[in-house]
Parts: sequence; structure tokens; C-alpha cells
Amino acid sequence: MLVLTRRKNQSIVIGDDIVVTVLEVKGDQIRLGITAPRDVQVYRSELLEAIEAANTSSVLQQEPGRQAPPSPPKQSHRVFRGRGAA
Amino acid sequence: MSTTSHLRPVEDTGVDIPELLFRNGLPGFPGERRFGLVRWGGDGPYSLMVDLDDPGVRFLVMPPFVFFPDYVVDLDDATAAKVSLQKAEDCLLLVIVNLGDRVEDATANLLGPIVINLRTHEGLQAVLADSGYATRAPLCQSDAA
Repeated sequence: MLVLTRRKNQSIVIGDDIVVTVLEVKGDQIRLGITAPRDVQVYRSELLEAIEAANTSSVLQQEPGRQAPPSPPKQSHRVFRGRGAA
Repeated sequence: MSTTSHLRPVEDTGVDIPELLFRNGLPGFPGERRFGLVRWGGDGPYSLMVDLDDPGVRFLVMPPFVFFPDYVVDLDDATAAKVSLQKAEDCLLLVIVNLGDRVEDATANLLGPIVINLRTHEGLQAVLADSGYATRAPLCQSDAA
């Protein structure tokens, strides 16, 4: 891991076009601003960790017939048509 | 950061897809993976999503709206682009079900839905970062006050 020390209003550049800026330091909380291209996703790491943990515990150990999943509530036949960006 | 397009796909519980390409696998199951999607359990909403090259990696999935009719997914442009998704009609949304010890313990991962492009057969697991949805949303709502 690369370790850098920054003060408020200082930045880090990652690759060609990702910039992380320290906007505010308040106690033990640091507000970061991230500039990145549209195709790069930026997440709080605990979100990815939560999804990873859920995936790992969801792997079926054997045919699901041993533990029956719930039956759906009364049948819904709703069909949704998507729309493009407003 | 990026604009969102409001995608609410066709609810389709009758889908079998022999091969879906997940270029980046899933969180916890990295690397390119090919999954097969097969209906499971008769005419219920469930399917199995099985890694074709590693059959031990398999998940029970379902369209979310059967149990979560108010579920809303706003895919950002970056996520849609990763599976070449241009039209909402091409989008199949599924969520992974986690079976508990009892039927009523089953939960679904609403924070990380599976997004499939029905036209290109590409897929990924999205992260709905600002949605507030849970990774373990109960399918069976109890009436306990």
C-alpha cells in the first residue's frame, strides 16, 4: 500500500484522471472529494465487503430442496417498462 | 457523479440462459466467469445461477419484484455500459437469495443485484451505493410490532 500524508485541500492523483482531495478534516472524520471518469466506480469499501460476505454465505451447498425457499406472496403479474434518462 | 437512468425491467420469471459472461465475476468470486441460468422449483420465481467452469459456485436467484414490489433500481451509466446495456427492455434484474435454517429466514441481497443484458448475455453484480438497501433483506415480512 502506498502511504501518503495530506493536509486539508491537498490532493492525490491516481492514474491519468482520478483525483482524491481532502476537503475537510473534523475530529476523526475526513471528507474526501473524488473526481473520476464516468466508467470508474467509487464505493465505500464496507459496501463491497458486505456484498462479498453475502455472496460467500449464499453459495448453495447442495440442492436447495433441502431448505425450501419461501413461496411467493400472491402472484403479481406486473410488467415494468423502462424509460431512458429523463 | 454520473447521471442515472431509471431502469425498471420486464419482470420475467421464465428465463433459461445457457451462458452468461461475467467479465469480472462477483465480489468474493473474482475473475471472468461464465454462469448458466436455469429455472428451478417448477413455476415459482426461482432460478439457479451456476458457474459453468466451477459448479460448486452456484446461487439461488430470483426477480426481486415478486417479494419486493417497491424495489427500485437506478443503474448508473458506468454500470449499464459494463454490460453494453442501452435499453431497459434488454435488462434482466435478479437478486441472490440466502437461505437460512428456516423457510422464514430467507433473505435477498438488494444492495447488490445481478444485472443481465438479455441481448448480449453479459452480466455483473451491481453495487447500489446510495440506495440504502440491505444485503440481507428478509423475504418474509413478519407482523411483529
